[in-house]
Amino acid sequence: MLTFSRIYGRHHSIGAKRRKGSHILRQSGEAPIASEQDIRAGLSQYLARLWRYGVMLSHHRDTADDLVQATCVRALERSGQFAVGSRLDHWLFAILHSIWLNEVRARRVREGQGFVEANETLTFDGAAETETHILAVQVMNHVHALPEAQRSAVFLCYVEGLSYREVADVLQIPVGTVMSRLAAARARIAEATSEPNTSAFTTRGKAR
Amino acid sequence: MTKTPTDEMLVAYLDGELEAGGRAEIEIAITTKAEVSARFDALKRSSLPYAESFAPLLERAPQQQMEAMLAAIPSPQTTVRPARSISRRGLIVAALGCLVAGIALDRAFIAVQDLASSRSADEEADWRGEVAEYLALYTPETLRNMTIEESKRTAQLQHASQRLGLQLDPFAMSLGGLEMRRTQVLEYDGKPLGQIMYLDPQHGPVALCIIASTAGSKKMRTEQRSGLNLVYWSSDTHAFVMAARNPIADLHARAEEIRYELADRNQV
Repeated sequence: MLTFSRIYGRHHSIGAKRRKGSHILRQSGEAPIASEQDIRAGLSQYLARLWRYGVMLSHHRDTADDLVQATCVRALERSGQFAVGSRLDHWLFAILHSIWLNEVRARRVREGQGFVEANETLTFDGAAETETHILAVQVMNHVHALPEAQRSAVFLCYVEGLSYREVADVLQIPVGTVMSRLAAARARIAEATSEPNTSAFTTRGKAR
Repeated sequence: MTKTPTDEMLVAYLDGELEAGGRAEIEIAITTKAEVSARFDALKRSSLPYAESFAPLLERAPQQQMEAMLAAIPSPQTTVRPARSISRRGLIVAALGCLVAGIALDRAFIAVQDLASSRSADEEADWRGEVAEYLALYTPETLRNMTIEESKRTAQLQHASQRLGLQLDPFAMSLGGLEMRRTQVLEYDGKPLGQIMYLDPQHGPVALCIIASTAGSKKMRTEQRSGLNLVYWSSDTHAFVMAARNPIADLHARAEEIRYELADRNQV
């Protein structure tokens, strides 16, 4: 992707050493984390999920690239603030969300730019138009059509499998607000969904 | 219980977020009240395979590039200057220096892209305002450490020429004595957007943004936005905007030079 040569520059070999300790994180999402080195190792594990959240929020892959990079920089700067024993992935989601909210989205809103359609951003180039694929795109479109506040709650809760409490912590809002956003989002999606038979699927991302 | 459950309660029930007592209340309400049952069934239609649908997006993530990006972030605790060879060969320091600007520039390019489709003068004024707003975030530090080998920069220009359908190489390598620092081709929805950056030792970054546009040829105009001077014009095939802190006369002269060279080398 061109954006990377622009933003990230070229590869070099610092990466070889930084993986020490990452096996600890791989074993559990709740491993104790203390050092910048550990944050770094954890980050490498969560890059794709952060990127996906960035795409969700911004509807732009390039913006997602930037958001992930900004999140990495900020997380490394603040590694001392990470509470040992808590979820690193949730902490990273919170950082990315705050960067989006405070540093990126505000500009976009001022520009008054329209978002691109979900299927433009998210369709799988060259992939066969399988039934699964079509359904997936439909579901993504439902989510992408939501107002941003509802979208992030739906994504964190139903895609990432966070509890209401955890969503509230990431988004820095009360649990009651999470509930009302999810209810509003579901009411909206329910209305947009003309096929009741899709309700047979599991909603939650992960068993909890 | 007599209260009709709210959507919030029904959804929390669906999501398994209610305690046993709350669950029992909802279940009673659903079985005893037709309107609650109907509402519950309606809301249940929103129970879609969210996680499965978004799973393929993970595979679309540019994993390798992101890992390289992460590896390139120096440790905040050890503010050791990167090895010379690295800073020469990479854009790392600059990438960090312009993190926010990088994001902002994306927005600027979206704005530039809009030029291609915008017709009204108001709209064009709008996008220039946006471009200026974001280019204003570029600092000399963004470009200062960016000393890319000449061969690489030539290759960047060639690539941009090819993508934009515009002969830029090699005259755009310098702009009235200012050496080109970096040329990028960004893509938005498959549309190439070119940006050539120069660094004026006195006034800081000078940006030339180019996008294919069939809105028609327009003569050169100048304006001030967000503390930047802007010169903009368009040819039959492309639209251009130059933005910098250079005095308007200086910038105008540079824009004239570029326009002359472009016209000279891109005769139809």
